[in-house]
Amino acid sequence: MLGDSQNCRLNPAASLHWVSWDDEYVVFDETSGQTHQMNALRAYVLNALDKQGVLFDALVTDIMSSLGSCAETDLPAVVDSILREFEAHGLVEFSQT
Amino acid sequence: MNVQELTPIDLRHRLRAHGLLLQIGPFSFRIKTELEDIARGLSLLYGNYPVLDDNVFIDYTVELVGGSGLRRWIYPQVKFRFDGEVQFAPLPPNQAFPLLEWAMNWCISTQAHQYLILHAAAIERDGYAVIMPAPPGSGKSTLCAGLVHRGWRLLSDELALISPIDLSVTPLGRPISLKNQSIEVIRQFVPEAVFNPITPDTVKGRLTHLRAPQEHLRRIDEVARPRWVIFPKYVAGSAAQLTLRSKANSMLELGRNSFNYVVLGLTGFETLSGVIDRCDCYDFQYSQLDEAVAVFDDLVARVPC
Repeated sequence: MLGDSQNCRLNPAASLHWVSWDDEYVVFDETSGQTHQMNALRAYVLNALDKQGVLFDALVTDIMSSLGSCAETDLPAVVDSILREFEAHGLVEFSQT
Repeated sequence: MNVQELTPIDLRHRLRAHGLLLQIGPFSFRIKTELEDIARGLSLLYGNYPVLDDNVFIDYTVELVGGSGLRRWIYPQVKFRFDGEVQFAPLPPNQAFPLLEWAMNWCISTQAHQYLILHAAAIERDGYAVIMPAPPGSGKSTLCAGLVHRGWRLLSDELALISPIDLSVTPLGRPISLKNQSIEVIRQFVPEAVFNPITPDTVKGRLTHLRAPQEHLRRIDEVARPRWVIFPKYVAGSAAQLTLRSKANSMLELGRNSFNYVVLGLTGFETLSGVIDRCDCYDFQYSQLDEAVAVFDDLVARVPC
């Protein structure tokens, strides 16, 4: 699990283009040429990141307050998994504050 | 002048000399060969295609050559040359005509990047296009062949050409490739259909090509607006059924079925998302062509005026 003080930021080289239909999103990274399909949660996570970065703990809190009662009980683990997947695709980077 | 207006001798002379110059949809081809199977196939299936003058720009020069030396007699082969370079592995000479068709597909799919090219059939009715991507064996070509003989216009059996400028689908209008049991299915469904002789034992099984309807070739310059993306699947014994599917997932599937989505980069993304934006997306399973035609006709009937 990513630590509370882990900084997560959008890969500065990424150049993202979005389209959406209902609660589904497709994101194209012009830099890598990769296209990603996302549900609302994944889209929210990626959209919440910027190139300055946000602490993992703050990100989870932000998502939890946005989702309210819909939030999954194990949200930190879910967000952790999503972020690691994004990292594998070159969309995000981690650093220690 | 069309191919059918050439005498058999003139056709063969052109093929052997400087090449037969053909307009096929938006592309011009120079076809050079001494192989008789190709001359016969072109005469049968491409009779209504325009023959071009020597002074026009030619997009693709394809040459099919038989073996030389001992290869003329021992395990003879046919090779495809593009701009003089041999492409693909050689094939037995009885596969010369399918090789020509594959060679033309290869030319377009690897180089016509003015279009987003999808590995999909495309048909049109009332100005609206259905794009049908599907893997081999899904019944895509069978369905396409059936529909274009029941009121739908053939845009392409194999390569859907999407304009990044206005998202229109440009007709290619080539013969339809049919394999194995599909050949008999379409022979029964369209008794008047004209087929090239069957080539047995290709990597895809028994294979032939079905002539494109003549009236469709007369409208070869009429583009169509994408309106539906339908993923067909032949399921033995099933009733014809459309099931709405996710647009986002349909976009990714279309991207996987594209020859040049990645090559086009942001243009590919914008073009494909534009197509999906304008289309309803469905999975479609069927086993009977008559039922499939009724379902497709109903789609058009439900389009608001």
